[in-house]
Amino acid sequence: MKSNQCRSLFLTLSCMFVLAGLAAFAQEPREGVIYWEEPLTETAAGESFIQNGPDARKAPSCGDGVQQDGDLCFITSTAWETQTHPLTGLDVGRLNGGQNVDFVAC
Amino acid sequence: MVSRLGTSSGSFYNTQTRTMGDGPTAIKMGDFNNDGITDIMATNLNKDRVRIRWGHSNWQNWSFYSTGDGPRELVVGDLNGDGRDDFVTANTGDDTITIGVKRSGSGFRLNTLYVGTGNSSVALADMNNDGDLDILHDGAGRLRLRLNNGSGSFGSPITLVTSPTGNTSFPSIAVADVDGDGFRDVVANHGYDDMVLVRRTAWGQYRTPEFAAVNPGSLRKIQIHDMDDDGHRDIVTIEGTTTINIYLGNGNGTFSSANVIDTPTTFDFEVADFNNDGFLDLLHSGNQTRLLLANP
Repeated sequence: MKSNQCRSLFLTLSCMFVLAGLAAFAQEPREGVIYWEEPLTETAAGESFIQNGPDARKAPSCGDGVQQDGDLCFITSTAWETQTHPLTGLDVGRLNGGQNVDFVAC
Repeated sequence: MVSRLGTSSGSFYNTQTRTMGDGPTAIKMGDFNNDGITDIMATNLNKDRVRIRWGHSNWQNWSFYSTGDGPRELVVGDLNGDGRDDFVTANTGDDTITIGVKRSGSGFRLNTLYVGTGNSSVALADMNNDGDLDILHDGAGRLRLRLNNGSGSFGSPITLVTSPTGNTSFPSIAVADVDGDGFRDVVANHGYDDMVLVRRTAWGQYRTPEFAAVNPGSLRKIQIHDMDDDGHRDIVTIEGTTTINIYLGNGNGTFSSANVIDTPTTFDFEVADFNNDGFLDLLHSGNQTRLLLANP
């Protein structure tokens, strides 16, 4: 009888240790698992991640030949393909294994 | 389809024109048979197929593979790490996506999944940094993530964004680390009126989606690149049909207001360094395909 009680006590304590371990492990973030930080809600007006107003737009110094962080300038575009129907799909990559970028369009 | 080879000065030569099937709406390059030669795949919206033109035959030979009804969007990448590119289409006719994993022999292992009413887009990205490409797609007014188990099979969908306006779709999805924490974030269209940003945290959580309004009805496509070479990712969009907008990133998940580039009619664009000067250029297509070279 005493032996059975000891065995039960031992099993109970073992289970408690295992459960405690599992609980501790569950609290540690693990790679590949998705954790939710907070419920999904729409961001309130005024909290946009796009800044508004003229100050938010950087003034470029186009074509001065000096690359500064924030320079955003383009030469007037050149047409390379004209179709009778609109081209809705476009991809770029290396078709011929060369160093230069090629394109396909459909 | 039309293809052109690039030169180191930002010009193109060797135009080739080939048929790509009935209703090609999206086109992608890939190496589907791992022979080191680029193949070309396009959707066939009206035939419920994708067509591949094989590079080893100078794109003269082609094959087709079935998809769900109305494949409109297409993404390509190696889903199971075998060196052969695979594909995923968003099929707008039956609200499905088709996942095609290239077999070692001929053909693809095809799996079509229902994703919900009004699906329109699909994207591939390694969202949990395990080295495998995961799938992001929309449907039923939700932007969802399916994690790849590494063999090209995917887990149950995880909802990243629920549309606050019902079944609004997310017609374009872009992925990049926009806040500099080393983890990929998601920027997508929410319908044609808003952008939505979902930032991932270091603990694998996703923050509350942030919405930003643009000109109503105008937003068509989103990509993310460092357009001004400042080390921060910027958002590039088509808004309307005659405007490409660039929202410069601040590196913390916020962006400038739009820098507007007026264009002829434009339905798609891609970003790359076409003249090998180290700066990103813009190629856009509509009635014409035009190249905008960076001019720092």
